[in-house]
Order: sequence, then structure tokens, then C-alpha cells
Amino acid sequence: MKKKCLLILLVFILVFIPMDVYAADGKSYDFEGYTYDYWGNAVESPAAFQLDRVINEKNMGGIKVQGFNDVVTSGDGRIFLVDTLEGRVDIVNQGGSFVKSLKVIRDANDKIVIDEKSGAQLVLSAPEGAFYQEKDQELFIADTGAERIIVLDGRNYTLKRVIKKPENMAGVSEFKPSKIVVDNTGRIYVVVQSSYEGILELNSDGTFSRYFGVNSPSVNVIDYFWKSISSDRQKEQMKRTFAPAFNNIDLDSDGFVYAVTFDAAAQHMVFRLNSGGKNVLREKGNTSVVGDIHRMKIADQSQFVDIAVQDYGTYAVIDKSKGRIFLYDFDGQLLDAFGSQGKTKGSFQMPTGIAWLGNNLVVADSTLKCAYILTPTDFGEAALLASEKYYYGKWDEALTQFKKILTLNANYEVAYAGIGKNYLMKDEYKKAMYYFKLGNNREFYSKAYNGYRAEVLQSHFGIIAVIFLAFIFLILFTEVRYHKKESGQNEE
Amino acid sequence: MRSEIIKERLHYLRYAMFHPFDGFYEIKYRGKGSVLIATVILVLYGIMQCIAYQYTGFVMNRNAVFAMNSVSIFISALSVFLLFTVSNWTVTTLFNGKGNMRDIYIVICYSILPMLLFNGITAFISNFIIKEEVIIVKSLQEIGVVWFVFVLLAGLCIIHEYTFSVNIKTLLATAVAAFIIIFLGILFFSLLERMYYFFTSVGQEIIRRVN
Repeated sequence: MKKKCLLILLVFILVFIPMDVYAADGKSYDFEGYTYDYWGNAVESPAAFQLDRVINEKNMGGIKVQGFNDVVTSGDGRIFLVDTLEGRVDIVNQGGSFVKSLKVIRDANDKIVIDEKSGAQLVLSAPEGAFYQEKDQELFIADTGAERIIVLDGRNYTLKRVIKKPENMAGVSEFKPSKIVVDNTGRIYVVVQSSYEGILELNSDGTFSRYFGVNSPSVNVIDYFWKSISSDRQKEQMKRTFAPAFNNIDLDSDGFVYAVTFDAAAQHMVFRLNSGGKNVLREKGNTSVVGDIHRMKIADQSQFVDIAVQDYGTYAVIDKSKGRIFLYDFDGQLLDAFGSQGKTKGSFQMPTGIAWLGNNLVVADSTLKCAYILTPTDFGEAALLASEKYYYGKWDEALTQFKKILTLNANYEVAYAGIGKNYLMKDEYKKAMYYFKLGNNREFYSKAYNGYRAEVLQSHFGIIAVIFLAFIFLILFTEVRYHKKESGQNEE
Repeated sequence: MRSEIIKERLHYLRYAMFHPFDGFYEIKYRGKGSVLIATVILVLYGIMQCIAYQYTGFVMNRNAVFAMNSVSIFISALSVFLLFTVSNWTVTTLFNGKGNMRDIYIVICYSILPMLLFNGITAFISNFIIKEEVIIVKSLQEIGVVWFVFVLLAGLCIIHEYTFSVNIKTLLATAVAAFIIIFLGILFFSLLERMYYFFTSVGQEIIRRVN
């Protein structure tokens, strides 16, 4: 009896005391990751990222922080954290040490800018988003409370210009810029708070261009039925279905705008919008790009608040309802999902923004009043490198990375399929078929099999031709014999 | 002698596939059917379902082969037809059908044969196809199903001496009867389970008191 109790205790200890959560240096924090297999079952996987550094009030030199609502990075490694309630944009360098905090805007002569109309100082009022444009070295701040966009010089943070509500702006939305991106030609894409008209596109001089990428609501069959039989007056009293609003946007290296939404009425959760405003996101993975697969309850679905896109098309989306980060490659294949909601170090309470810093991730949290810098683990580094090499068509380098991944996670279908694709490119069909089978990739297996079959048919052409001719001969022979027999009977 | 009878029965099985109206007439009124052959076909069909689950080519096979349960596949393949036999018999006795249970069983099992053969052929071919050719294999499968339905309808018309429209009506009623049978079955087994637990708990109580 006593032994049994001890055994149960041991099992409890093993199950409920988290092991290996802290890495050897005692500082970084390993998440637990998973992916989905071909049948939609969650498969355990090492996490792609670990916590490297926390940016909070303490290590920012006592600047007051109320909670970061957005995070952006520049190419040279600066991190811009937008604090809405404090009305500040805090700038931190790559190592996580504090550089500067912007609240009052100054001009090139280091004088505080005075607004001409009101005579008041130009102070940030509840900014919600920012963007750093590499080409012109400009920092765009969406100053939501004051309904304007402030453009600063990227090096010394002095005022360049202020973009106010364009006079020719159409539509009913108020000009309350929330999130913002600027492409290389200077076009400004603005997510306006709770707008159902799409993303606002402004020309580089601040004039209105168009609304862009309207997010179509999904049609509910039951609603459609009731609407079809109700009278006009009833229809008026019904709740209108608005096009779902976008939450956040990002820009990839080819100038495509990525957007996310968590509106339950939306058909898609993640968008890659081409210049015509159409969604061209590739969803060729095991699952569609929706984060967690929800089977029964709509309330369980992932709520994406921000997206960060790498140059090679790999993107990370962050789910606020479960505090999870989902990493997808350019094909829409889930590379890894990790992270949890909570108040302990490394978990998220109300994540609001995510951005790439090289191959590191920066995640801002508004409730925990901090931002995390996450670095890739061995597994994550290999996964990112593999998808980068694959994207640029460097098959051999991708192959070595995929093989490395398999030593870390043998359940990783993406890596098997990746190795298979590599062999397919080299026309080694037999090997490719073996790996596609392990990776459960039927589409590419079929391609590899097509090549293999052609090879076999060619090499055994002689035998096949002989069998075929013999078959035809057999048919002819039986026909002839049958007719002889028939005609013989007729003669009798 | 016996082998000759089997040979003749097999001949009529083949005849019924291509000429179901005449074939099933012979089977019913001249006693050319065989329950043994029918049962063999049915069992082969169950085995074929298991084979198709596992050995359909990778391109077409979306089943999780590692999670295969051949017993449940076999039983669920067979039980549909057995349920249909029983429920069709119960309905047709009420609708003045002339066929008895043996006739219905033979008609159903015989008409499975083309479906069985086509399933076997497609399971084999599917190992040598690419994704673009899947549609050809699928349509072969469909031919088997259509053939099955045709032979079944014709056979039921003959053995029950029904017109086509009455046959369809009885088939709809058969579906309803099948649902009722399933419902009663579930009810019966859940009651049985409760009774079992009741008696075992009473027994346990008695044993405790006695001790």
C-alpha cells in the first residue's frame, strides 16, 4: 500500500512539476510547441523560440510604462514600442537597452513644435501604431487620439511633417489611424479604428487614394434564410452584417500587405493583399491559416492581433485569446505553435504586437507592461533557415537544415516533405516518394510518382510492349477461333 | 454432383449480373440461388473493405492506416446489408411482397458482386496512378455502385412481384424501418446494460451483508 502511494506521488511529481522550462543559463525560458499533422491532430514539437530578454520599466531607466500596444523594428535593430495610455513611443536598441522616449515632438533645431492653429505643443495623444520605413528612414506614428499621422526623421527623431485627415477622403469612417504601414513608393496604408470599408490608402503626399482590400463577411445560411422570408421592416430591425474590420497590418519585401482580423464573421483570418486588394495568401499546408483548428465552438478560435512577415515570406501571427504565436512559412504551412497565456515570466497576458528583429521576435504585451525578445531555439533556427533557403531555391542548404530538424523532431512532417521536395528537384524520385510518404504530402508524392512511373515504363519498354502485343494477339486469336466455330456450325 | 450444382448456381449468379430480370426470376422460381454463395460474397465484401482501407494507393488513401480497426470495418460493412435485409423483409411482408427473407438476402448479396469487383480493381489500380488520374478511378468505383443499385432494384422488383414505383415506395419505408430497428436496438442494449448493473450491485450488496 505504501509503495503504491509513493508510486502515485512520483507520477504526480513527474506530471505536474514542469521540467526543462528554464534553460541551462537560468534566464531564458523554453516554450512548449506543437504542430498539426495531416489528420489535424496536434503533434508535440520543440518550441521554435525561447525567451531571451524582457523589456520593462526597470531596464528602461525608469520611464513610466502603461502597456505597449504596438511594436515595430527598423532594419538596423532598433525597437519602437508604442505606449497608448502614456502617449509615448519608446525606442530600445537591439540589446534591449533604452535609447529614447518620444512624447513631445521637436523640430530639427531641437525646439518643441507648436501647433499653428491651437498654439499648443505637438504632443502624442494616445498613439496606437507606428511604422519605420527603411528607404527614406522615416518613422511614422499613428497618433490616434489627435487624428493625425506624425512623420519623424528616423535618425534624430525630429519632425518632418504631419498628415491630417485628407480633404478628399470618401466614406463614413472617421480618420482615426490605428495601425500603419508605408511601402517603398511611399504609399501609406492605414487601418482606421473599427472601419468596415477596408484599409485606407493614402498617397505619399497625404492625399486620399482609395479604400483597399475589403474583407467580405461570410454568409451564414440560417441568417440568409431568415432574411429571405422577413419583411422590410423586420430587416431594418435586424443586426446588420458589416464587413469585418482588420486589426493589424504588415508589409512584405514584395510590397504585399498582410492583414489580420479576429472578427468571427470573417471568412479568412489572415490576408495577403495584392495591389488590387484581393487575398492571395497561399494556404497549401496541412491546415488552413486559422491558428488553432476549432472543431466545435467558434469561441475557441484563435484571435489574431498582429502579424509579422519575414523577407522570405515566413510570418508569425499572435493569438490574444490563448497567448500563442503561430509560425507559418510562405506556403501557409504551420511551422510551429508555441506560447501560453498567464502571468509568469515568458507567458503572455494580453499580447498586442509582434515584429521580427532579424531572426528574433519582439512581442509587446499591454497588460504585463513589457515586451519580450524571443530568440530561436536550435529547432527554430533550423526551421527558419530551412524555409529561407527553400524560398530562395537553395535546395542543398535547405536539405541539410531539414535533416538537422529531423534529429531534433522526428515527428515533423514539414521537414520530411522538405527533404522530399529537394530530392524531387534532383529527379531522385524513389527517395522523394519515400520522404513524401513520411511527410504525408500527397500532392508532391503524386508528382514524384509521375516521374518514377515514367522512368520505369521507359526502362522496361520492351517487356511492356511484348505483353501488350501478346494481349492483342490473344484477343484476335480468340475472335478468329470463335468465328470459325460459328461458321462451322452454320454449315452443318 | 454437389460441385455441379455449385457450378450451375455460379452460372446463374453471372447471368443475374447481366440479365437481372430473367436471372432473378430463375433464382426465385426455379430455385437457382444459393445462400452459401451469397454469404461468401458478403464476407468477401467485408474483407475487401478492409483491404481497400489499407491497400488503396497513397495518392488516394486519406485514411490513417496506423489507426485501422479491421474488425469494426468488417462488421460495419456487413451490418448495413443485414439490416437492410431485415428491414426490407419487415416492410415487404406488410406491402404484400412475395419474396421471403432468403430471396431478399440472395438478391442483396448477389447484387453486391459488381461493387465488390470494381472495389477490388480500383484498390489495385490506385497504386499506379497520379493525382490527375484519381478521377478515372473514382468513376470506375461509381460504375460499380450504379451497377449494384440497378441489379438490386431489378432483383427486388422480381422477387416481390412489384412494379417499379411500388418498389421505390417500399425502399423508402425500408429506410424508416431501418431507423426504427436501430433505435430499438440502442434502447434494448442500454436497458440491458442498466439491468446488468442493477443485478450486479444487488449481488454485491448481498455478498457484503452475508459476509
